[in-house]
Amino acid sequence: MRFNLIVMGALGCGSSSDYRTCTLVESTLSFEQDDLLCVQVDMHWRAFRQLSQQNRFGGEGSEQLQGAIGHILTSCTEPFPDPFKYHPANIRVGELSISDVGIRKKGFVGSVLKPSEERPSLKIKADKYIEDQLVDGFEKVTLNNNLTDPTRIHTCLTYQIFRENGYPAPRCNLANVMMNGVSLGVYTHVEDVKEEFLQREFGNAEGSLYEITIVDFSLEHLQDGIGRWEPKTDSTLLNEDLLLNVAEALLSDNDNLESELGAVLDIDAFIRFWALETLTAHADGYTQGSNNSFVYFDPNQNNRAIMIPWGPDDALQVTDLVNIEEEGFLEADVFYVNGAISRRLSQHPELMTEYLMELERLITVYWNEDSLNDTIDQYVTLVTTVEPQSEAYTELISEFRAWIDGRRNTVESYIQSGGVEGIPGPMECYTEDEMEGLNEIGNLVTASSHSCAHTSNSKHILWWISIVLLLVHRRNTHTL
Amino acid sequence: MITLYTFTLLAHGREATESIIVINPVLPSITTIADGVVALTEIEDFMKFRVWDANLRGYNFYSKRWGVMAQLDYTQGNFIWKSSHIGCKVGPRFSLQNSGFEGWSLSTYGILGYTTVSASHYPLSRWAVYGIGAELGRSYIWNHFVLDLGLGLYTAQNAIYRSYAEAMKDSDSPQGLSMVPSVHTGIGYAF
Repeated sequence: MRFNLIVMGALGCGSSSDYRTCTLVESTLSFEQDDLLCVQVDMHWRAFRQLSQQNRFGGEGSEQLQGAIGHILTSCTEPFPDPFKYHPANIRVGELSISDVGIRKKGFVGSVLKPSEERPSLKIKADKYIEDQLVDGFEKVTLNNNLTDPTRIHTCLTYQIFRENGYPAPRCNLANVMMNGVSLGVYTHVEDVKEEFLQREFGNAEGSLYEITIVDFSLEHLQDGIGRWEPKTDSTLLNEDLLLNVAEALLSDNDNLESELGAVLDIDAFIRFWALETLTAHADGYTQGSNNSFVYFDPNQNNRAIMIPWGPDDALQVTDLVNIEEEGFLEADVFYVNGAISRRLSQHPELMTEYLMELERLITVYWNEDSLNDTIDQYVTLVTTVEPQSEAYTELISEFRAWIDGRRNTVESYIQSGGVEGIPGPMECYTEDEMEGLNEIGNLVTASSHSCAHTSNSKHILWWISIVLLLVHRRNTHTL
Repeated sequence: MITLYTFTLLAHGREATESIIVINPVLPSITTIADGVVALTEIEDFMKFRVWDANLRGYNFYSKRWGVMAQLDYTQGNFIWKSSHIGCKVGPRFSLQNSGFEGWSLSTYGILGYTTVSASHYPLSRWAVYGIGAELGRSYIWNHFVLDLGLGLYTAQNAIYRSYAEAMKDSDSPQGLSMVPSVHTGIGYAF
């Protein structure tokens, strides 16, 4: 599997003590973009501390990236640990006051790093302790901490772009989340991708729904059954049959690909999804990273698969669609052809053309810089009612607007280039040559241990020169 | 530099001293300016690259002409994954001035060590390290205080490689280290 870790330079902004509290108003748990929800959670402080300090891969928050990488490298199919435990809490949203809900931390890596111990992403389960209890009609409430998105805007705006283009995506708005009377800052309130979502978007919820977290439609990922694919609804098949159908269809030659794959995947919908992930630079999504998405096998479409976007907190800012001159350790070219499906479709000339045409339609017909910047302004107004506007925040928003303004040129240049093909051949969990550098850090530490490390660094040379000069000087002094 | 120069002016020949222990307190500093680490610090805000080292070197002289040097090292580097190395160097040290520990010397040594690579609590790979090296040294003693300097070269090979990660199941041990310079700046105590 190709490593595509997109490192965000700035994590978090400000601390909870800077944030303004909110007062409950006559609102409900809406997903209206103009609404800034006021979600007040009350729970025992000790329970909150336990909740906050839970981490997916054990150890401290700072070790989560190490843990994730260790897990990924150690096994291609082993499900990720899910250690987050529910704690009882009471919540108030607008006129709603609900007692004894379950609340737990959520997140994979970016949202469970060290700062999450003060500002955890939260999942509220209304019926955890009281059967059939709902929060304004919802069984679950998802509140993302935006740790990797200091603007707090990227997630909602990305989903909005998907939805405005008729693609099924979660609804989303912002929320001031208060814990025991103290504001934790602006969170993203995201609709859960569960039965209610499926019913609204597809008119049914009886199909199989799987979450994709660093896993793909490949025989290697499915060699031990369902492996790392995570079933998300009660009616989801717990075997790998549906997923294997897609993985096997991807092995068809170009002449048969459309018919074979078209029988198990809605290709038109996938091409729109692929183009939308590209347009929004959702580099941590499926088409680039085999990550952050759902796949639904829609019974109304003969169980053909359709992708659903998830986790776009670092979208709308990535440098992509160009070759990076010198790829660093954590940098890689981003062309959205790494996911098994986008990779295979990119090798089919007609389907690649359809994708580029869809991308062109989106950038020509849909992309409107003024409108998007107006939306950003609206969100900024909401965010700054809670988190005082700092110079750093203003700068981030300027960079965000500049990215929006420059997107048209980037995408058009890419379309004109004819696009980039993914790596040919069957998808594998690991690419051997990309693992070669893994042991180099061991060599570096070995070298350091025996008195000196690799010495091409200029500072090292200065050490040498200083000491040699001293010795020579001493020798001359003695001689005289 | 001035401090070292002052030390050299103060130092004069003394009788051979039998046993000396030194530590190299600047080794972690040398390590952190190592090649590659500088580049990694560009993303320091996101994840720290931390290196620390513990080392202890001892000499025992059997005559004014020669003695034995032994050094123990433990070094750990943390980046996205963690690597640690435990190793030792052992070998004879020859005085070039027939003056025991003090003065110019030439040490030759063998290296034996063990390197592990892991990510959090997931072991990824490990291998043994063996090698040889030589060091030209200059040492000073003031009362019992010791300043022990050295420049050298060493080479090391990796062996008995074992990988635990599925991602590296067909991988070989990394290439060894060919002719790596070494800098020794030890301070210590003469018994």
